[in-house]
Amino acid sequence: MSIPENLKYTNSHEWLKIEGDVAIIGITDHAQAELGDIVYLELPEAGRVLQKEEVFGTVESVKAVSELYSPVSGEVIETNAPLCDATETINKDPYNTAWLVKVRVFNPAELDGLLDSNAYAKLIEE
Amino acid sequence: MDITEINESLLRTPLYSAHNDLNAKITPFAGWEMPLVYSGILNEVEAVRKRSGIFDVSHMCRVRILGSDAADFIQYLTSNDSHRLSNGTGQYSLLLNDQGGIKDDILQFRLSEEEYFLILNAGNAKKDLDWILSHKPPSVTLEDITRETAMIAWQGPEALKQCASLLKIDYPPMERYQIRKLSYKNQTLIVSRTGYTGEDGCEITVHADFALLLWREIMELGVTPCGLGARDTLRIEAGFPLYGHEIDEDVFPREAGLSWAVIPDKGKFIGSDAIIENNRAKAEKRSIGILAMDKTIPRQGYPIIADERNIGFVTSGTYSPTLKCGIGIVRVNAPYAKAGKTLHVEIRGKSYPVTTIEKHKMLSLSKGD
Repeated sequence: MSIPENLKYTNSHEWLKIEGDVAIIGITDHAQAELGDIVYLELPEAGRVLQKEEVFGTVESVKAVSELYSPVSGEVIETNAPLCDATETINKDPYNTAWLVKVRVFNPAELDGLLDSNAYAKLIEE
Repeated sequence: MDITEINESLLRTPLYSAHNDLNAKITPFAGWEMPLVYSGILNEVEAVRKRSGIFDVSHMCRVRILGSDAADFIQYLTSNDSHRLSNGTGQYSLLLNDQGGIKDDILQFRLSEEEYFLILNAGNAKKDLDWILSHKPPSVTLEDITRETAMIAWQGPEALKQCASLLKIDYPPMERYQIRKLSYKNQTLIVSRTGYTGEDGCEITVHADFALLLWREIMELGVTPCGLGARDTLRIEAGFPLYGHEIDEDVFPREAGLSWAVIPDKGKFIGSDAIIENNRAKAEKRSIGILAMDKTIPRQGYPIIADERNIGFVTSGTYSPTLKCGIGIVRVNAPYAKAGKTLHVEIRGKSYPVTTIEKHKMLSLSKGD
């Protein structure tokens, strides 16, 4: 199971890559493996303001539905809309081409509560 | 109870080690540890639709009903007309409760005048066996052979030909719903031309000690192992009911489109009075298939809306790998259960259009019919 060291993680299996005041968000390798073949993705509109832990989208495999939770409060500045027509990319490359949204982070202090790769590895071991 | 004991309380089929060797994702199901998925549901469904796949369905309950009164007992116990069966044939049938609701849906085969073979749902096994035992006359014997055997479903357009070649028997080995006891490597196999995928194929009951060998021989032919995830997806595509979804103790057979498996004029059977009574009035609910008109996926429990009213709900829903869209089976107020209507399914608070279609016709859309 791939868990890159340069990313932050959530208990609900999202990853974040921090670039300045922007967080790029996706779902982890573990999450895609648990879901199985992903066939549907619903993303928010750019411009939407998200609260921390608010549902911002949905990902579905053949048999399972999983909500996406925003790890931080912020404004959606860009979404990976083409991914909705190529959902298998989330299974194949969850950390790179299959990023989901870019969010401008309102409160950088929220990032401190996220898991690092070691803590996330421990979480999915349990 | 510690964790070891919890795990030990789940049953394993004789094929469990094969699933582990194949790195299957294992899930608890009806008291058994069963393979949910091996290579991926999309891949497994495609294999069954285009080539062939095998499923471990050893969790399903297999019982022999024996004795000189077996034929009359089966006729009284179940809803279909078992007197139509000749030796070596079977039929889909229902166990009804006294109110005419569906206790379980089953396959029943007549092996001989004094030997019937029933296949019951794993999740209903205990309930069904208690029910059968409480109704059977002393002259009839019930023998549960679930644990001493395994059952392999071999499904897909290539399955029967491959099966005939492996077992060195004629092709096609039998007609649909026929059943044979075949000898293979000094073992007796019970092989029926049945399945739960909408494809041709067979289901093989084999002694537990011989099951792994047979599974491996089938795998060596290049057949794809398929888990319960693919099995459920395939049965929804084919429009088949599943207990706990389309049918349960409170659903009358005709509400689920299963009147054809109930023969009220065959003579008295369990539930027959209630069925005759219920048939006097119009059915309130009916089931029908739906196809999503956009990319959304109906799921069990989602509300169905028409004329700005809630008219029912989704009993089974999935993404269909074969049709490449969301599909489902719904239970709705009877007037809406007609093909070609536009209804709406409510998903996460939003309403999306779906088209109704006869359940058994969903799959034929992929074949250009």
